Amino acid sequence: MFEFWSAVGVSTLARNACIMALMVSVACGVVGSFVVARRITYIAAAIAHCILAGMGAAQYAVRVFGWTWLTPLHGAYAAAILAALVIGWAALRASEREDTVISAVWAVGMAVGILFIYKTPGYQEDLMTYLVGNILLVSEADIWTTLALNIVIVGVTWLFFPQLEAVCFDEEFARVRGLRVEVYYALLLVLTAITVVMLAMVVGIVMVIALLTLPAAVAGRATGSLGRTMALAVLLCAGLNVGGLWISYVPDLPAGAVIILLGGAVYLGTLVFGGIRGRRSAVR
Amino acid sequence: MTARMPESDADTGVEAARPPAVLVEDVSFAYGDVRVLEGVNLSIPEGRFACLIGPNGGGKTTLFRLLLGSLTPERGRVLTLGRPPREVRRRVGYVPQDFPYDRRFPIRVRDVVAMGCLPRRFPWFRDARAVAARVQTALEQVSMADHAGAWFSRLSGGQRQRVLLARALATEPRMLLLDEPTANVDPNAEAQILDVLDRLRGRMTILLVTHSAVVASRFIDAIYCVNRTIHRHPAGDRLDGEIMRHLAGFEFDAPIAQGDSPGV
Repeated sequence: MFEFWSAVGVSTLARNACIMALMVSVACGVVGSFVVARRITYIAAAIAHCILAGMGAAQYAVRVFGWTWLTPLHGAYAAAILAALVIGWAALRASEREDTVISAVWAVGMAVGILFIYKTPGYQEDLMTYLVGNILLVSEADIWTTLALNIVIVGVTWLFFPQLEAVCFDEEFARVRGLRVEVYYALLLVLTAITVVMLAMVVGIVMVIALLTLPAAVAGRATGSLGRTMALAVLLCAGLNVGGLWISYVPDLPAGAVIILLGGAVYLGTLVFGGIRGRRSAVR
Repeated sequence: MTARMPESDADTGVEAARPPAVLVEDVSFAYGDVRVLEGVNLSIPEGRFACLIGPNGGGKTTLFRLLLGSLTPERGRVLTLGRPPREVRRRVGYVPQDFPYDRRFPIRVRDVVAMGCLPRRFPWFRDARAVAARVQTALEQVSMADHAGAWFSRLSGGQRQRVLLARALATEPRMLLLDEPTANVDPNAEAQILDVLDRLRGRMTILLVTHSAVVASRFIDAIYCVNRTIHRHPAGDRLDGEIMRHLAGFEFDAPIAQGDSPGV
């Protein structure tokens, strides 16, 4: 039971994984609360699937063109931000239906990634790592990058919180008040893109959406303000990530899947608990 | 449909010197092929309480959006408080009909009302005390000061409408646009909202969209029927059922309180 904590003390891999799990929780709680409140979880999912295109393209460039300075993570951030801006533009400016654009970006991102991976020599075996994540593979450079991006996310949120909250709550009123809704919406999507890439390192592309939304959804049921929802979601996400790592360590289970199952169980528990409490107060 | 030109609202004397709160000249607007407003003219002096009625799809909300600068007319001219709408929209309070707000959105009443103080550029420029004072004043005006810390999602429909009205008042508006504020509330809540509007009467220009004959006949200065064109009923007139059916698409027979009306 205590093997994981002993490993954190002696193993760099386990320690890095633990630090990463705690650090991504900050972005996850802050941005996840916006995503859940603004109901753009499917946009976040589409962005997540575009990461594969960025990772595939970056790895292709490394192997075929010899661009050794490029890493899959660089590609992931670039593709995620590009996808966020395309979806944001389509949602606010294009006459096309938003859900159609989201679906198209989602599928095209995956298709581009698969093509690059298919054409990159000796690279196919890494596909599963990207899809389901492997937090034990994070490097020290990844940790520093994540720390810097966390500072950016928290700083931007602190600076523009009233504006972002207003755009999430009532876009039309925000526009009437003279806020540049398009700019703040694009900013929110870029923050989402950065967070999605961070979380994909922990739980992988296909499960990232659950980690982004479940802590915020649980926290949102328990608090009455967006700021408190964020704080509680950060704590919940940290608990889920570290708890998932701990549970998965000894039986050697995929940590990402365990984290998501744990999150799902907590969410289900709050739904059931909330339902029972709601019925009791209705009876009274 | 009879496309009657409206009678002029411009008063003589002191008010004639000030630009009207609303000036709409020969305005047309269409959503794609669907024409919503056609050659509309409207002039409402400052300080008046005017009521817009008309069938759904008749162009009432579109007219509001033109006055707020959210939409641009394809033809004609719109001036709000004597200026292009986008330049003065921060002085216009707006209570939407039914905004797509998420019932589960975690937000407190005071934070909703504080949105009326936006835009605040950066936190270090925020005058938190001034914002709190404006929020408190606005909540007191709608008798919701006791609920400042309450969860917005836990309020009743009528309370939510009063909070949205407080948010509009927190903008310290010269003009208030209300799009069916009593549409989805019970009669008791409707009476409370109308009491608030009654207290605001004369302190700012108020434009109210409603389907309620009670609201329209209670204390407004003039009724405008919006149905692609605009037809004005001066105070003291009786809304003739035949005209209303013709213009608005429904029967509407209500006297306008003459004693309250300064005559527009």
